[in-house]
Parts: sequence; structure tokens; C-alpha cells
Amino acid sequence: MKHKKLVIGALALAGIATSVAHFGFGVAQGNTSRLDTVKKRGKLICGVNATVPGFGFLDSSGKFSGFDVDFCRGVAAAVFGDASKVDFVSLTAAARFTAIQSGEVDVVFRNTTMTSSRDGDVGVDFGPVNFYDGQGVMVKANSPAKRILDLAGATICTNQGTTTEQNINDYFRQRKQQIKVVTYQDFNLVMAAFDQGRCDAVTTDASGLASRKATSADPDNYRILGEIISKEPLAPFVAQNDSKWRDVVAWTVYATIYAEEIEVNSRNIAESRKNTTDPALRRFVGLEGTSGKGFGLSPDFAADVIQAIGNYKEIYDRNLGPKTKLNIPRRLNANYEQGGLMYSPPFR
Amino acid sequence: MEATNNPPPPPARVPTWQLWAKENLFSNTTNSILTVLTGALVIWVISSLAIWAFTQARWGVIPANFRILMTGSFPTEQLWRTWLVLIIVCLSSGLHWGSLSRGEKLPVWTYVVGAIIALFALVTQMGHLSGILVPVAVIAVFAGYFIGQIAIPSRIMNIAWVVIFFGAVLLFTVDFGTGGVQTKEWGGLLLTLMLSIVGIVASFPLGVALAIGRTSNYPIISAICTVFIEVVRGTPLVVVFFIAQLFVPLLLGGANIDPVLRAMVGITIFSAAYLAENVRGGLQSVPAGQVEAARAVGLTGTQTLLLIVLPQALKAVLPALVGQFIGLFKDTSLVYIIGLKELAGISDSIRSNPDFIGTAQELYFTISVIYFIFSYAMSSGARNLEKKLNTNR
Amino acid sequence: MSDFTVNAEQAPVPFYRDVKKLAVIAQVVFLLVVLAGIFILINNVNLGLKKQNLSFGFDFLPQTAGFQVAEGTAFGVPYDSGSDNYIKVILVGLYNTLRIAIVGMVLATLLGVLVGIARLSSNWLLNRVALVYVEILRNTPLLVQLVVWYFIVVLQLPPIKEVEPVLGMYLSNSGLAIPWMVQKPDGINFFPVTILAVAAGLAVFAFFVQQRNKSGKPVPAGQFGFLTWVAVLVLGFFALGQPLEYGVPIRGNFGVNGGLTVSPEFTALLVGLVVYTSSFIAEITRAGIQSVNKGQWEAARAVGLGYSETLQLIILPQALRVMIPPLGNQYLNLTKNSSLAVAIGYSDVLNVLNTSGNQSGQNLQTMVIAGGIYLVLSLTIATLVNAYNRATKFKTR
Repeated sequence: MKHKKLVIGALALAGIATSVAHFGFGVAQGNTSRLDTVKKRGKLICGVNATVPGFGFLDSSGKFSGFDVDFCRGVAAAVFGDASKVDFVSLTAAARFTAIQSGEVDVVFRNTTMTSSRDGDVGVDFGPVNFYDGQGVMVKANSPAKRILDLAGATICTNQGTTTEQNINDYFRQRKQQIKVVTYQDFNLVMAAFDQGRCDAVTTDASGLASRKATSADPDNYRILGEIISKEPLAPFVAQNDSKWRDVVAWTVYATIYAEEIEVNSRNIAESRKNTTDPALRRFVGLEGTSGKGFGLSPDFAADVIQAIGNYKEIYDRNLGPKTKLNIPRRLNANYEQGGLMYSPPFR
Repeated sequence: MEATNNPPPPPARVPTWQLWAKENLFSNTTNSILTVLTGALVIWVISSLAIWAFTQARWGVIPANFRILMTGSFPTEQLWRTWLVLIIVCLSSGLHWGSLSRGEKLPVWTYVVGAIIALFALVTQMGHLSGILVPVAVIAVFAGYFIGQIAIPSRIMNIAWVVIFFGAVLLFTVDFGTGGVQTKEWGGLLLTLMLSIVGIVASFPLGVALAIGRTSNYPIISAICTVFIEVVRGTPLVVVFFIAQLFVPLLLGGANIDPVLRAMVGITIFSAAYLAENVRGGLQSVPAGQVEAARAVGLTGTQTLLLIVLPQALKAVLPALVGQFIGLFKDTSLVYIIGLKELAGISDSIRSNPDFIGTAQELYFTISVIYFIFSYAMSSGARNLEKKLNTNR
Repeated sequence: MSDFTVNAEQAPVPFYRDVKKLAVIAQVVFLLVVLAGIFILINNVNLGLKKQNLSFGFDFLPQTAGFQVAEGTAFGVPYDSGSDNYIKVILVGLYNTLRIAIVGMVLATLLGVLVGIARLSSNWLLNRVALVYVEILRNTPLLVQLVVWYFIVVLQLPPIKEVEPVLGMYLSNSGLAIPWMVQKPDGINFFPVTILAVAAGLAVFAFFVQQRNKSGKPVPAGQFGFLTWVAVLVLGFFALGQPLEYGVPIRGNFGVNGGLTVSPEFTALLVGLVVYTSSFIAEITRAGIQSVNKGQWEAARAVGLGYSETLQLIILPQALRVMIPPLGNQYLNLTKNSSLAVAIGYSDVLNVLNTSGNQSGQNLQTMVIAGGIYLVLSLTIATLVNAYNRATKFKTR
């Protein structure tokens, strides 16, 4: 008797397992583009940072906001015509790549440096750079260090799992100097240790340092050293080998840059998309041509993006510009017409 | 956990304090030196703590962030859900307590504690509506107690708790048309409690099954269960959490499971392995005669296991299980490392808020007290339980 | 007789009624289900990785790691972040884990036994204080305790610039720097000698303890063990051509160089683990001492032994037999708990593996390695404790 039950139980288990297997295979085997998954779900899932004010952070009401967060909304606007159809997942530096690999998030806008090894070995594909950054070093205002090299022999704190950890190491090694590096799980801990005097300096992207300094209780306590020791082109990324979905992300970013070039912004876009005669603008807002359709989006996706989040300048100014606490000069992030690196391929 | 069975020796004569001190503090030279040294240490610790607490500490950080310490980023307009659950839990605890102590009078200290909590909430008005609703919750406990004494059989309460558990999980998530709550919005004490309760509830059947599997006579089943238990027990919980956080979606073929659920999966698997070992101890403590007798009266193997062996085994290891639950409760703090905002994580967030930089002491002191109250209450409960079970034998 | 046999052959029990066969079938089915489950999970991982042109492999291990580790060596061999590979950096992490685990076990045992004895003291104040100590530590999470030790105690020390040396030692929030014999850059690795010395010392100690137990004559086993330890160290030092030199900490612009520096992360983790574990060991000690028959106390006192002699020579050795299995559990827990180093930035093996995973993008593999390493550590400790337990078990004659 007992054994019969056991067999039945085991068979039932086997049945469940096969159906789970089926489900598992179904999900994993599907060779569809992420775009279809996102459309089907009716919501975009975007990985962001939650600890860098200005780029991605939780404001006091518990909502995500920042420069990278706005781009997430932009992608949602491109796909759904509605910038609110996005869920944010805050990712640690360490978790961001696995989150894409496992398909937990659709796209990551999380101040991530584009590098060859990440593009090649890690299994992600990068979109266009949306912020050109470089690694800087911040010390206490009363520190004897005037240049980065003055920090030889010092202890420098940074967070784990970033390119900065290797950069700072390389910088001193090339100059035959030694430093000690202490790393923590997230930048909140790095700053806590720095404030308590465990380290003589902290290092991360210059924009991150500026953001930390500006939002600290007493910004005069800190001094950012002038030099930049590395190239940190920050770009969004998606899972590898899904060019359709990568295109959507890429052309959402380009749309914001292009809009700045042709002087379209969130205030005048509503007017333009109805009755403009400018041929370049007509193509951009989808009155002519079929650019949107080719991506599997509506023809006027670019107009939706601009209407929802504004052009690159508006996004920048809103989050990082002179009117914010951060006040980061645009420099490399200015449009190419103003001598920066922001340059969009044409919409035609 | 061992019962304390070395109470200070009862004084034989009517004690004066000098006599008591001589016997217990200064009975010989060594003892006198020890007393002086320990006394100095105690005075030093207490006085520095007091000086810090009353002159240096910036306690303002606690009331200002009380809501997020308790519930994290739970949406404010949905907080009625937590209040509702709190009051129902208080009422049910009262009912259960009352139903278990028929005809007993409430000790005076309970009134004092209740009044202090209610008054404190009324005066400080920390957080959202707590000035009114905390006193309501306190009253609910007492009301429940008196109703429970008259009307409610304690067996009903066991079922009620199951209903409350599932009701609470539903209430903390479901959308009633005014916007739902996502598990990733849980935080603070709420997340700590939900992780521990869901962890123990979910790991219980799994752990019992593993224990039965390991003790079974089927070599393959026993081997598989043994390997599972030993591998999980040999791995630190942090590693289990990392794996759950990073790879559960990958293992399940890209299924989208939110981080809180993944942490729950991790803690369930971890806790099940430990629970299995405790239960196994219980299973082995049941005399073979019980099984033989059960089979002799015609029960099947499954019936024997479920009706005869398991109840005795679980009763035998109940104190150990409570001890394990306390461990689990404390271990939930580890999800801080994978970025969830339970009590420890939320404290870390608060202290990096520019307005509250340098308040680490106040925050960690407060959450330590919260952890202590919960675990101490549970461990003294376990001790009482152990005493009761021992006298039954 | 023969009829019976023939009957049985003619009407064999069908397999679905044969209890033994059913048991086998059920188990095989169960095994298949488990294997199928494992296969599905692995297959999912492979498919997920293949989608991104990745594979599950360990080819990254021989590549250059390129990141710094704050402290530790690969068991005496210095780690060079510019040229050494992931294997070596993982060894550094493992060394750091073992360092904290072994030192932690010894100190936690000493402190725990002391507190356990204090719990049973007839001195009211002392035993109350010990009780409060145990209750507070056991009822708050280790993680919170570690964060408190690190951020609120150790980092609260004055910065190195404001510290004056005491006997050549600097105690600051950059750690404790003391004069020490340090490895010469070109000297032979001295680390194996230190291990050998400890092993030899312990072996000699164990041998003489056995002799003492056999003969019943007093032999200073502890002193012999200690002398052996010193002798091996000195002999090794000269045999390897003096690979060590005397280093004194010297204050530079930032921090101190030279001598031996105990980092704040190490200190906080060690203190946290020791104090936390000691509260559990205290309870084990208390239970162990109480398990010893009262008559033993009375007999010892009757032959004129004092309190501490009775405790050391009569009670603790007997209590130890009861204490060893739970003590072994605590050692296991301490080792696993050392992985909380991640929270305070100590470079233990998990922390290093984490960083390796992030830098190489091979998180899955590094976590598998982490699981494997802890499993091996746990099994080793369990085996050692069991062996010791068997060796010292009360032998009934």
C-alpha cells in the first residue's frame, strides 16, 4: 500500500517536473526580441542606480529620479508612447550585468562604462554613450594632496565591481608608486568610511564625486582634484545578440541628441508633430518616412520621447545643470556644434 | 538552549542587605576583588552610555525617519494596510493569550507596559497616525485578552493565525483599485518580519520532508536528501543570498522574480536544511516501540509517520525550532548585503542622507534594541515552553 | 514442500505488488525527477548564457586580475596586482579567511570559557554581568554588531596624523602598526615555517600530554610544546638564510609603512566574531560544567584543591567531552560567519571572489567556487572535530 502511494507520488512529481521543464525551456528557448517581451508585458523594466544623486537615486518621496532614470522613461515613451510605463530596479554595481544576463531587466541605464571586455566577454551590448565621464579623485579639504600623484602611499576607497578599482591601481603602478585600496559594497559605505577618516581619498567617476560633494551636509569639507585619470564613456546596455531591441534603446538616446540639434524640445514638439513643414522635422516626428516602423515602433516614437522627457539639453539641465545643486559643466557632453561629443546620426 | 537552573541560592535567614552583600559579593578576597573590578566596569559602561544618550546623541533622527524604519518605502497612502494588520495581530494575540489563560488575572506589569507604550505614542506622535493607532493596538491586546478568556477556544486561534498570515501577505500586495503595493516597496521592520515569517513558514514543510527523506530506509532518497542538507549547511547564508539574487532568474530561464521573493527563496532553502537536522533529531528520539505499536494496530506507514511519529518528534524539538527561528530572524539582516532595505539596510540609507550624516550610533542602537526585544521575547517564550514540556513528561 | 515451491514459481508476484521492487522503482523515479530538475536548471543556465554567446567555464582564472587586495598574501607569497592571476588573488582571500577563522576560534574559545565560568560564579555581580553580556550578544544580529564594531568603535579611533607612537606602535583608525619581523623582499617564503612550527609545537604538546596521562607523572607538556615552537622558528630562520628582517613602523604623509599593520577591517571582524561566538561558547561551557557530577567538585575540594585548580584539573577536562560537539558547531558557524566581511570591506575569500566575478564578468563561476571553498572548509572542520571527539571520548571499560 505504502509503496503504491510512493510510486504515485513520484510519478506526480515527475509530471510536475516535466511541465516545469516545458515552461523553463519555453522561456529560455524563445528566440524573440526583447522588444516583443516588453510590449507583451506592457511595461519596461529598467535597471538604474539608487545611490548617485543626479543620475539615479530615490528622492525623499521614495521615487526614482535622475539623468539615467529619465532615459528609462524615454525608452518607455518610445515603446508605449507613455513614459510612465516603466518599473525601476535598483542595481548594485556588482549585480548589473547578471541582471541583464538573466533577463531580469530589459535595459540598464546605470552609469556604466563601455569597455571592450564588457562588450565582448560579459555578454551585453552597449547603446550609444549618453554621458562622457572620467575618473576623478576627491580628498578632504585639508588634505596635503594637490595632485593625484601626491597620494602615493595613501589609502584610497572605492566601490567594488567597477572599472575605477583597476584604473586607480594602474595609474599608480605606471608611475611606480604604491597605494592601498579598500573597497566596499556600495558608495554609501565608501563615503561613510571616508568621512570617518579610514581613507585619505575616494575615487569614482568625476560626475559621481561632484554629485556626492554637492549633496553632502557640508560641501566645503571636500576637494575634488583637478585631474581626470581615465575615459569613462557611460552607456546603456542590453542583452547581447538582440539588435532589434538594442536599436530601440540606441535611437531613443539619439532622438534626444538629435532633437537638441534641430532645436526641438518638450515645449514645441506638440506643435511640430501636428503641422510642421520642415522636411527634417517631418521625418523626425514621423509625418514622413518610416523610421519608427523599422524598429517595430510607431512612426512618431521620437516625438513621443521628446514630449515625455525633452531633448538632451533639457534632460541634462533638469538633472545636472546650473540650476541644480550639482551644477556639472557640459564640456564633453555638449553638442558637437558647441564643441562637445554629442552627435546623433540623422533621422531619415 | 538550556534552561537556567542555577537561581541564586535562596537566603536561609531573613536577609539584611549587608548580609546579602557579604554572601554574594564579598565572601572572600578573590570575590571582593572581582566585585570591585566588575563594579567599576559596569559603572564605566553605564555612565558612558548614559552620558552619550543624554548629552551627545541626536535622537531626532529616529522620529524623523520612524516611518521608513518601520515600513521602508511602503506607499504612505497604502499604510492603512499595515495598521490594519498590526491591529488584527494585536487583537488575535490578545485573544490567544486570553484563551490560554482562562481564569488567570493579568499581571500588573502588563497594564504598566501597555500604558507606557500608548502614552509614549500619544505624546511623541512619531510617524504616520501612530498617536492614535498605537493606543488602539494596545487596547486591542487587552480587549482580545478579556474576550479570549470568556469566549474563544484556543484551538480556533491556531487556525486564525494561518488565516491572518495569508491575509496579511495578500493585504501587503493586492491592488484594490487604489494602487497595490509591490514587495520591493517593503522595507524596515516590516521587511525583516515578513522575511522571517515567510522563511519559517515556507521552510517548515520542506525541512520536515528533508528530515523524513534523510531518515528513510530508501538509500537513494536518503542520499539525495543528505547531500542537499549538508551542501546547504556547509555554505554561508551570504553566499546563498548572492546565488539567489544573481542566479535564480538565470536558473529559471529568465523568469522575472523580484528581489524580495528571491531573498525569501534563499532564506527558505537555507533554513530548511537546518530545520531538517533539528527535526531529524526529533525523529530519532521517538522510540521504535511507537512505530511497532502503530503498525500493530493496523496503521499504514504514512499514517504512522504523520499521526504517531511526527507529532512526537516535533514536540521534542520545539524549543530547538524556536531557537532556530530566532536565528533566522537575526539572519534576515544579511539581505542588507544584497541591497534590500530591511532594518540594517534602511539604517544604512538613512545615515547617508545628508541631513542625518553622523547618526550611525543612534540608528544602530535603535535597531539593536528592536532586534533584542523581538529575539529576547522569543527566547524567553522558548524557555517557558521548554519548562512546560518538561513538566508534561 | 515441493508443491509449495512449484506454486510460487507458477504464480509469481506481479512487480507492482512486490514491495521490494516497488521500493526500487520509486527510488529510481525519485532519482530521475531530481536529475531532471538539475538538468533543467543547468540547461536553463546554458541556454541563457548561450543566448549571449557566453559559456560556463573557468578560463578566466589564469588571466591577470588587475585589482588590489587591501591586505594579505598568498600564503606568504606577496601578491602583485599588475601581473598575478585570479587563482593567486583567490588564494590571498582564502589566506585572509583562514587567518580570521583560526585566530577567531582560539580567542572565542578562551573568552567564551571565561564568560561561561563567570556565569556560574558565586559572585552575584559577576554572574549577572556575564548573563547580560550573553543575552545582548545572542539576541542581536552579528551583522549589526560588526557594523557597530567597525564604524562606531574601530573607525572612531583618532586618525594617524594625531597619534603619538607608544613603544613604537601606532594605534589609529588606519589600524594597529607594530614593530615586527617582516619578510625580506628577496627572502625565501617563511610562512610554511610558521605553520610547521605551530604544528610541531602542538604535536609535542599532545605527545607529552599522552605521556602524562599514561604515566600519571607531572610533565610540563605546555612548556615543551612552546619550546618546540620557538626552536622550529629559530632553526627555520637560519636554515632559510634569514629571510626576515626587523621592521619598524614609520609615519609617512599618509599612514604608516613598515612593521606589521593590523587593519581596522581585520580588527573589527575579529573582535565582532570573537565576541559574538564567545556568547554561544559561554552557554556551552556553562552547560558542560553543570553536566559534571557535583561529587567531583566535592571530592576535589576534599583532597585540598582550590577553586581554580579544581576547575582546571578536574571539572573542565570532564566538561570538555560534552562540549566538543557543540563547540565544533560554533567553529563551523564562526568560519561561515567570517563571510560577513563583505559588509565591512575586509578582503576575505568571498569578498575577493565577488570582486573577481565583477571584474571578469564571471559571477556565476566565482559564486560556485565560493560555495565549494566553504563546503571544503566546513567538511574539514567537521572531520577534525569528529576525530578529536572520537580520540577524547570517555572510554568505558
